[in-house]
Amino acid sequence: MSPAQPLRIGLIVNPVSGIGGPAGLGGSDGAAAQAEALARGSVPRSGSRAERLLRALTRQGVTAEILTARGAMGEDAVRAAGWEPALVLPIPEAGRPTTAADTSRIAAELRPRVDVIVFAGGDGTARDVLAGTDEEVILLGVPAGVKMHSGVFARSPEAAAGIIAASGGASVSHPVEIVDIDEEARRNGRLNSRIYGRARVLGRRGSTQGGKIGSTAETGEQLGGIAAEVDERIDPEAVVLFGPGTTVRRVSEAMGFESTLLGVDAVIDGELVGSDCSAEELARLTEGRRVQLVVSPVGGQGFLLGRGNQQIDERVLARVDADDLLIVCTSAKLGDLAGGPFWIDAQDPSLIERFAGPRRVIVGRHHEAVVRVSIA
Amino acid sequence: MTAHETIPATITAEERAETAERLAQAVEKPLLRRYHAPRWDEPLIFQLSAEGHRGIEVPSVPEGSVDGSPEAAFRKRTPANLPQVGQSQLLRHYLRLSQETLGADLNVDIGQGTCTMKYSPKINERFAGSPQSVHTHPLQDEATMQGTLQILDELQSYIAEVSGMDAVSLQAGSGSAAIYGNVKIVQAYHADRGEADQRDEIVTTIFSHPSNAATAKTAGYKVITLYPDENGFPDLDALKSVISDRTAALFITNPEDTGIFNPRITEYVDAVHSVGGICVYDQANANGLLGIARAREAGFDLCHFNLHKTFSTPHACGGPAAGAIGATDALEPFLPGPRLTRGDNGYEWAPRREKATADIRPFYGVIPNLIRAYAWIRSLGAEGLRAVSEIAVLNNNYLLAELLKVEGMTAPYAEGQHRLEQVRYSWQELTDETGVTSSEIGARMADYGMHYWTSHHPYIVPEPVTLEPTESYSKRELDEYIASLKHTAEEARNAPDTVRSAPHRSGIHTIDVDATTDPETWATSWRAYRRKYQGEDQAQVPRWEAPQDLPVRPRAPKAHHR
Repeated sequence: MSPAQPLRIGLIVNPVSGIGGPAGLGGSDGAAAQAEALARGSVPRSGSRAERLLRALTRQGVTAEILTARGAMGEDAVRAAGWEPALVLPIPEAGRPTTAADTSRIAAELRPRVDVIVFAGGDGTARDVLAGTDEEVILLGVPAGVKMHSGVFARSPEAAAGIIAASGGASVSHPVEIVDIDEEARRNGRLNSRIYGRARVLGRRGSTQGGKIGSTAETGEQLGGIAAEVDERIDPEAVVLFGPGTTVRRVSEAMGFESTLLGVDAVIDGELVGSDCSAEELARLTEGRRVQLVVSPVGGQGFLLGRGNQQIDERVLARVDADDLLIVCTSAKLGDLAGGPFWIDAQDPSLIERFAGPRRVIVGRHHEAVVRVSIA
Repeated sequence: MTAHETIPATITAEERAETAERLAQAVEKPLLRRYHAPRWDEPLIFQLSAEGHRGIEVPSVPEGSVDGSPEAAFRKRTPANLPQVGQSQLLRHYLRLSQETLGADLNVDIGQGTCTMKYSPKINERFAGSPQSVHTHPLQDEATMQGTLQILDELQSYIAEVSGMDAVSLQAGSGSAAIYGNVKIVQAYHADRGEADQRDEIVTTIFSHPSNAATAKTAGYKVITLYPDENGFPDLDALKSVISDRTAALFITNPEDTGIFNPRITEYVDAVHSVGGICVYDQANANGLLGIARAREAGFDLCHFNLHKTFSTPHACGGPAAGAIGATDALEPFLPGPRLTRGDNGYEWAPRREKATADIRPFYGVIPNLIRAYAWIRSLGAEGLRAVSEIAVLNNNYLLAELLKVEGMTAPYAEGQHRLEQVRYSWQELTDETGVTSSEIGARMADYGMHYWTSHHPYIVPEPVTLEPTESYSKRELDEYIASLKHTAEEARNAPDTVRSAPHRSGIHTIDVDATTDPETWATSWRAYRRKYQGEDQAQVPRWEAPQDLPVRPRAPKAHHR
């Protein structure tokens, strides 16, 4: 492409991406999970994330041609954001739920026609896009999934627009791994990722959110210290929500129960009142009570909210005082994150503004670090 | 022209200099040394013991000739269980062990960043080893040791001058002991004001020495650690967000381990003072500051120097070293240990004061090291101390400029700026490219007779190496270190297995770290070795035993430097 030509963006929206998150399903892969998520009241949000990207592109004055697929797989978001698609690929049997195969097929058709494929989805979507293309394809993920361990995602739709604006016509890219949760490791109580392939991601290294770094053997003593510190701060009257992840699970174990590795649990005065809760269940359990929230950053990415714990939605977050967000992190994980910042992401960023800024993080018994928390 | 050709008499001075340099280069040794350490497989001294062997033959005394003497009262009835070894075997044993070390006098020690040992002039050993030093007993009358006390008094005044502080204590036997002394001074100061219970938090930074956090915890404080902002400085907004009337003190280093001087340090000090906290300057990284910047003028209330680092005395394998605590007049009453005074009868130890904190160690400091530091300062003078720092900074920035030319190495933070006395570099790009880690490169550096250290844990700079050249090393020696690092980086690309399996030419191969850090397997004495590894049944010393219902804490895996 010569510099005079507008950037050709292939846009794919995975309409069901992320709906398993608020439903507490830990992911959205498979028709059964998607049906269950919809039954639990989850609302698809990937389309609106794509819209946010396109509106941000407009604000930044980016000139581009958008090639996309029909309806919820892109066209709706493009038109809603005030853009006119240059090409709309058809989807056979319109009206049926879209599948992983649709994503792969659309990606394959877009591949020779565009400079970069931008998709709104999660790790599963990234795998499907890769399956339809090759390792030389240039991608950029708009974070809309439940967990995003691949290094292909921008931190937010607006950050994705910034990467596109600064990319110089897709001339800058770097290699990343496309990964997804290792189900076998998860069954064995560990949260690890498995590599499914490689691709190139638009922009300079460091501009995206980075790939998740799996949990290392964290010291029992340090985790015990963190647990003791958390225990001291727990209000027996409050409902305490334990977020996902290995660090939080180890803390919960030291406190006498085992939290769900990819879910959110609720405890009142030491008693487990909800396990692997959906957004609806959390909204019900937290109504009218003080809410304390124990979370740990995603290793290598630093996300506290909005990655893998979308069931902690706006209704719950509105009930959490800034001081009741209890952030736990081992010093080794914090070191891997170069001391921060930590990131938070929500559908409505105004709801989480009060969590931003320098925050105390529990790193051990009588030991805190101060880490800057930023809105993605 | 060859070295054997004659230089014509008509050439100019410039031509003569150029020719001389060329001739010198013709005989120059390559920078990359073909080093190989001796490996002796030397047994333990106890394993060399043979019945009846003696180092010296002591004449026997007639039975009963020492009866009634003081010696008889102290004499042990059973001989100590010491190895029996001849004098020449003993000499060979320790010479061999010494050949298997990379001591500060043997290697280019710049890879010991944050802890590089500068040269300790040998002439100072004559003072430290003189009878007036080694034959002094701490309990003897002050009147008989006026010279030693004068040295201590003057050394205190020199350290006060260097730091700008009003008073100095030389009692601590190491840097960490001095930091602990400072924590106790902070505690005593707040207790004196009735705020000890309220002020239960100490703030420090991740790029300051971990002993700041560790000693604060030991003294019962809650510790808050600041992490770096995007410029590598401790986040000032983060500090302001956590200080309050609970803040007892800020313990901070400047420059931190990155070697970047923090020009806004007074803002940190002012912020902590505004809530009633004490500001303590850990001067571990003072090698680039002597005669240039002083703790007191940045507003600090307390500071400490490692005399074994900045003032040339030996580190002595982690002790006995020497730490000097400096305090303002307001905190002087809380200084630990006995205090010297000078009256009509000369120097005396003053009566113990009511507010003084507890002694950090018995008596008053490690006297031989204090004499070495005194001699070093006296030999340099004020201008010499400043020259020491200027040369240390120059050496460091030469090293920085050359190492940034090595592909795969970066110096995170403060891009394009000069550093002070050291730099924490990163091999992340090389590791991304080759998979070879910084610690593996460190093991390979031992094959060139070079020491190499990564960083304190946790690693904030990824794949770190911390280098501090001090003023002691010549340009040639820095070039040798640079050449060895550069060559190792090339090996990581071309022969990664050679690096991963290093060291190959070192005296000792990599050790099983867990075996030496696990209380179940370590043996720190011959007696423990016999019990743990030879199954010897030994009478157990009565010990405290944990109650049955006491929860057993899982033991943490150790974070290893290598």
